Amino acid sequence: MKKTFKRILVLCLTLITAVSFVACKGKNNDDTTPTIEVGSLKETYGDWTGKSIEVGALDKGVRVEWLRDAARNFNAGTGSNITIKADESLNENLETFIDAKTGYDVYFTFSAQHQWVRWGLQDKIYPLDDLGVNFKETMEVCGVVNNVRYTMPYTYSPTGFIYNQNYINDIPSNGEFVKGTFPKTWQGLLDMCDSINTKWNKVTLGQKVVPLSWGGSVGDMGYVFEALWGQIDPVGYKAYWGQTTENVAGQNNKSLLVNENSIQALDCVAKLLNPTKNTNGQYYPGNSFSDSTSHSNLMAEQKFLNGLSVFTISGSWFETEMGEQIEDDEIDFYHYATMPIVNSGSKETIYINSPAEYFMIAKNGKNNNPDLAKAFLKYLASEERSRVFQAYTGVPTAMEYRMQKDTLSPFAKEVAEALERSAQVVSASDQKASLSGVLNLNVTTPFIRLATMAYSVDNAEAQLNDLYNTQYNDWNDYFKTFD
Amino acid sequence: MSKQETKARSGLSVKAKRRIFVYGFLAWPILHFLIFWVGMNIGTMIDSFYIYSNSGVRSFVGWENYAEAFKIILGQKDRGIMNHYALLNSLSLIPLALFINMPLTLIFAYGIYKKVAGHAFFRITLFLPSVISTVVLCLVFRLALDNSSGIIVMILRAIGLGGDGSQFDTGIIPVGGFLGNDSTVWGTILVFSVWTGVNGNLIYFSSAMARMPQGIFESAEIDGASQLRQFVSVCIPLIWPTITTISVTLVAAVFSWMMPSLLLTDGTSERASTIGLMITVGVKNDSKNTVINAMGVLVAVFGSALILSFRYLMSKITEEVEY
Repeated sequence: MKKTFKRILVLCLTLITAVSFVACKGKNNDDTTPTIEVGSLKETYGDWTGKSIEVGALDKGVRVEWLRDAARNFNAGTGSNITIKADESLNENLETFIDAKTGYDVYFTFSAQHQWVRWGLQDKIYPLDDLGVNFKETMEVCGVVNNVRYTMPYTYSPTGFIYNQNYINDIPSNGEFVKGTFPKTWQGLLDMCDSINTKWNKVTLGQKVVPLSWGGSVGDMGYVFEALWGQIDPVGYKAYWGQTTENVAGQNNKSLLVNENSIQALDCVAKLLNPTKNTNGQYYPGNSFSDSTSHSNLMAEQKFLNGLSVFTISGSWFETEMGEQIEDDEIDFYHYATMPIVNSGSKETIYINSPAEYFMIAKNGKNNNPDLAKAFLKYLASEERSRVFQAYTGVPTAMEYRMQKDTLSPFAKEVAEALERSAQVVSASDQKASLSGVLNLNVTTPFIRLATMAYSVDNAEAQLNDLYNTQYNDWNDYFKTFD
Repeated sequence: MSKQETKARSGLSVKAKRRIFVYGFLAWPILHFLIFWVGMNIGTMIDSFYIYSNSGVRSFVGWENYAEAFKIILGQKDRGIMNHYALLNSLSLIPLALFINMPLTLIFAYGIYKKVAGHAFFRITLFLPSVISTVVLCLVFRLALDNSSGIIVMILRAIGLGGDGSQFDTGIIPVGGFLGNDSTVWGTILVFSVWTGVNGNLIYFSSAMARMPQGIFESAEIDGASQLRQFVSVCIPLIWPTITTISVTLVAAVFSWMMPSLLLTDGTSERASTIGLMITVGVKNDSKNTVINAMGVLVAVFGSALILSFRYLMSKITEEVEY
């Protein structure tokens, strides 16, 4: 009996181990088909025969397949030997890599606040002034400190709502919401939420479908707030993000953050969160899951794809980020929407996520070949590679180029078309030289508070006041590092 | 062969050879200790009196970093997970480890020693959480608490404590879920710690109990001592040195305890902060934040005093039994 039990246990453990190894199998990255003509690359970017560099790339969000494709083309066309090392936790270990004796030659990642500024000022990364890249106007200022460019911003990530068209076709019309069409106005969006909660009462997987799936533990609701603020008051929004380290030092700038327009934007979010009292007398986000405040963005997106919500907050990267689930379950009901209009006469807006991924060239690179690294970055910044990147990821680049919509997926095409017709809201403070992360508008906590307290017209102003006071206290700490 | 002859043959005395042999073995750990403990800690201590600018310039700031660290510890200044809950939470792990986890482990170990029914099964299954990665355990626990499909939530609903499954009626499940609500997040993490922590030291206690002389228990039984009396009056004193050692390591470990907080809340919950988490995340985000250095020094001083006092107290409770 004892022996039989031991045998069964050993068999079970062996099976678990074997299954774990199978599950850990990496993706097949053996696709070696170049996507564009390579003949003229040597003339344009130089002959790099026998020269090598290693690129460390963050394997999240937009992934690295597009970068591998670029490296294959560049190697084939110029004779170089560029290798791409994908790393899921690269941004968490950047500090170690940059401070080590040797590391990757080039990095594609994003860093914590003003890390890149420090590395630039400490001469740990190469200046990139001579790249000659044609950036989008709003991204031109990113990656520059003391008039020297240290990083090449690459992604230009539009955020927005992702909605389930099948559900939209089914939800009864209500107020400004018309059945079949995702609302174009904020009131229409609130009316749709009301219809979902009171008229539709759809049940999926044993649960009532909620309007919004929202990752409360991350800053995604901030996309909504900033897009609304930039839509309601484009001038005031720019003025806030355009502050310099000098004028944020005093308390004279409070009105830039706490004013009637920012209050209106935050109040819109409070109404979307719709705090509702439950049977225990506690308030929960009535348009979402009661445990939304602890969800991550990935969990929120998964719940949306499982049909548990009508829409979620994400961006152009949604299709790439959730690619496995979309492919496995053959899902095609998802579509992209810009931020609905609050005040008539305004233009629909898209908040561009920042800090976004960028490239930088390290001075401690193991091959120490900055010229080849720069040539490769120039190639990546070309119109062709911007198009290939967008075709792979659905995300535009930070460069000025003509989008080739016929190569995009239907979802990516919707994003591209939305970008052409809407106003874009860009803060990008984490990579602006004058600010460098000093104005890091962390609104995760205020949203959780707004979702879990009784609604009042004064709540938004109170939260913005709190936010300002927190920032004011933190600024003193940040300024010390700028001395 | 005389001593002089031995010395003459190799040029070294036996004593010298023995020293070389012993210190040769110790050289590596001593070097490791000097570099990674003494060197690192001296560097940390020195840096705690300086701040670094973005351009790498170091400026002396005296006790300023310590003042900042005290402000954080005392709750006068909070920044994300750098807050006063870190110390409170870390200290709350001490009674949990000493008065819940360790007694439970002792009871399980004693049950196995006494060969209760199914002891072979328990010996293996109770030890399993110790060999499974914390990452996996955290993932399982987190999924079990998911409001939509978690097994714990489903059980609570089945027994009428989890509401009716709607967002409006969630029974005892708080808004945000157990891990997303400020008032329940740390308690939930403590429950996780009990689940995964009771078995960690099972092997040490089992080994200590295996060495106990059987004759003492037989004498106790002849004298009419109950099982509980045998456990309290015979078993515990016999394995007291092991209990002392394990207790000291448990108390010392609370200052670096962080993984469950990090993995169950993504390191974002201010109420789930611990000293270990605060220092690790702080250094990861900004290795030039020297307030963290000051915090580390304070924790080292306070922690050392606490551990030494605790060790002294434990040694005074009962005399060591030789057998």
